[in-house]
Amino acid sequence: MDLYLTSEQALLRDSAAKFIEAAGPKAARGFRAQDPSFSAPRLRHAGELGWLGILVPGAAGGLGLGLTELALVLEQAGRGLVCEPIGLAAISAAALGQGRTPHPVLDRAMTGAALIVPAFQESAHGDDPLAPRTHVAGEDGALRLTGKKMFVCADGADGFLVNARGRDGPALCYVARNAPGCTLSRTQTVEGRKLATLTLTDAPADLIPPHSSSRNAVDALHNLVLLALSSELLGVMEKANEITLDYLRLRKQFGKPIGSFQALQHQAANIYVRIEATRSLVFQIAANNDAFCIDPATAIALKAKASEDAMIVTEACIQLHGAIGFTDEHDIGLYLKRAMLLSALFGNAAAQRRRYIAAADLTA
Amino acid sequence: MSRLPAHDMGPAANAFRQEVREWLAQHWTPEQRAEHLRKPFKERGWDVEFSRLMGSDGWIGIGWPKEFGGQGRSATEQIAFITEMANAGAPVQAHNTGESIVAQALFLHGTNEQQDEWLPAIRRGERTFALGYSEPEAGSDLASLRTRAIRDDDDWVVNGQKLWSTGGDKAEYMWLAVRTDPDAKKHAGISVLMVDLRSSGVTIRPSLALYGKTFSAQFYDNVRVPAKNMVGAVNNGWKVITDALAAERVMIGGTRMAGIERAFDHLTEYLKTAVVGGKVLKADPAIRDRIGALAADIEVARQFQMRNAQLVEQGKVPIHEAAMGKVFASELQERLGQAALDILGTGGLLSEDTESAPVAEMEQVLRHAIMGMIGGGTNEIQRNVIAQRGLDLPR
Ligand SMILES: Cc1cc2nc3c(=O)[nH]c(=O)nc-3n(C[C@H](O)[C@H](O)[C@H](O)COP(=O)(O)OP(=O)(O)OC[C@H]3O[C@@H](n4cnc5c(N)ncnc54)[C@H](O)[C@@H]3O)c2cc1C
Repeated sequence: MDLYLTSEQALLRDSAAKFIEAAGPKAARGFRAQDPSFSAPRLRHAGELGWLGILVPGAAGGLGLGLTELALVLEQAGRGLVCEPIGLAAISAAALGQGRTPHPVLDRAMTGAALIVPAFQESAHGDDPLAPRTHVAGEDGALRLTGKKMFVCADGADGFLVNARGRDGPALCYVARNAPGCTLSRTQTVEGRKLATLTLTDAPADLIPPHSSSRNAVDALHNLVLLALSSELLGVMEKANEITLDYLRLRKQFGKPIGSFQALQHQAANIYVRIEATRSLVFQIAANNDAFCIDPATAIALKAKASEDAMIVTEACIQLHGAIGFTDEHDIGLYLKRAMLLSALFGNAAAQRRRYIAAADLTA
Repeated sequence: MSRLPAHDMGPAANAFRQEVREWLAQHWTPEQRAEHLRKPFKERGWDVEFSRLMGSDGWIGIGWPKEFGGQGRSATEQIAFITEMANAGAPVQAHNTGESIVAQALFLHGTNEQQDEWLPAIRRGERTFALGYSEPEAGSDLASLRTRAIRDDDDWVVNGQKLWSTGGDKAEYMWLAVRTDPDAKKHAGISVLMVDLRSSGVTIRPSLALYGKTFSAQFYDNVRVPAKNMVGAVNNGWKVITDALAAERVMIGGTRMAGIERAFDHLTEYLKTAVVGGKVLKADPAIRDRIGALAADIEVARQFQMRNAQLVEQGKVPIHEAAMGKVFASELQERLGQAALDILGTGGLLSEDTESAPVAEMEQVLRHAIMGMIGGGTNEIQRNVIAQRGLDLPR
């Protein structure tokens, strides 16, 4: 499926592809044991290229581009197993810049000098972001957050965008990492990325107002999260598939390239169909939605599909490699682990499917 | 939801199981287990001391014929035994390649001197083996292996490279498939040697596999192996390998099934108390369907195993039947891993060192499943066997 890109979009995609050449599996492997598990200078480099402000209006210092551009960059990030959390940083910047007066941390968020990430999850099962248990009290200017967020990509983060229950419904709040009452406890994942539990006890916070086009600031950012993670998952699948296709052409057994065995051709075809399905969903949603008012049901459907496909595709890619794919030294296993991480964050396929029923009101 | 019902293996095997359990209760105590679990994940499962303990109490070679010092246990009883050991998490990897593959080959193809020297040492847990079959160019197409052995006086001189030998960084001996006649047809020029890995000219390079344990590559540079360490006649190695494998195939499943059952029990344990969005997860019909389907498949996999054991007891060699059991069980393990990740949600990502016990290990089940789908002949190759040998479809 060819996408029809404008020349600007193609340029953006190509510059992202160039950026990831310097990332890739080798760098990703190196970051597994590091703290934070990404390179701060490279995050700033992404900032210089404008990606962290990709959705932020030009007037506020961003690129003022749309979801297609965001998806193109993040697809590349997924391909390159980029460890810098570009996607979460870019959509957080979008949220920080969406009000009439941008939040003061926006400039540093766009340059990559500060890393701000969403902290929404309160359980392992992809909760309803509009009904958090974390709550916010007080008046604007003196807001206080209390609650607990789990599986936060807090590695190297300077602040968080937290969804909380307020007097008038769900509210999006900014809380600084070093704010009083804000503590983190870290856990290790199979992928190497550290996640954290964020405990907030009467922590001072700022209200982030919604974009003029959105239903609600929490809803808008959550849908962006689902699109961002899915775009990255798409890139993970694509690259894993390319590595595998190369191998199917190269590896010989029984005197023939293994790619000539129909049993493997059918598996390769199945993989391709899955990737194209996620790909068309990502770019259809990107093309047909306002960045701050993505339809929640389709965003959920996308994350469900991308999470499921990425796991199946990366597992199948290992199977097609045989034992060499099962070594820690081979890159293909890193794609499986990245798929595991991104699929699980903000609710895995099963959690999304459950939420879809509620979001689309199927059982009403 | 509670645990899986016990697998009824018939009166003899059920009684034997009980005996094994009693021995384990004495010799594999919770303290020993806890100590074993303190080792890094990649070190677990291989414990020479425990192998010697098992050996001294007669638990190695229970399926061996009595004339070789075994207990002559039936295939079903052997499966019962393997399952109990695996359920208890007892470390059996140090001796089990020698006990199964190597011993089978020695029964059928070993000289009297080889049987007298090697079998008692294996049975005492004093001689550990790894399998040296695969090579960079010879995986599924094993018969194209190229590691060369050339006769020189009383020795074979070995040159070449092997890959993916499980336990090959820890074992003392390699069960090595070598090419002794490069001019013969590919299946016809192969022989098998037992190689002391401490010999000069052997270089061992361990590597980490995706499931968190190690295997090794070995490089053989003019390694001298005494001619008396060749098992079977020169150039008759393919027969030695396939005979040993046939006997082995049925047993491999035992360990796998125990892993599956344990993971399943972890999952149902988690479900006892899991609440999502204010709802009790185990009451969710979708979850119940998923758990029920997995449990049904576990029952099926048990029956595959029993059928294969019975075929062996009738003196038959299960070929496509063993392939079916392997494909079914390894893919069941994959489904179980996927279900666990789905049900555990983001918590399923956390690696072994998390505080909540049922959650730990679960994602490892999935990574481990891929091993079962590749190792011991890939599932694609197994399906070829099922189609061609089982269904007699044209090649
Ligand atoms: C965890 C683990 C432990 C192992 N332990 C050992 C060990 O102890 N000792 C040892 O010697 N080996 C060991 N192996 C190696 C194992 O035996 C080989 O991986 C296996 O035989 C496949 O060979 P390969 O990896 O070279 O894959 P390849 O043969 O290169 O296969 C690559 C892909 O092609 C497919 N394929 C190949 N031929 C066909 C065909 N004719 N039709 C359809 N599809 C085909 C395969 O199914 C696979 O998907 C281990 C492997 C693993 C993963």
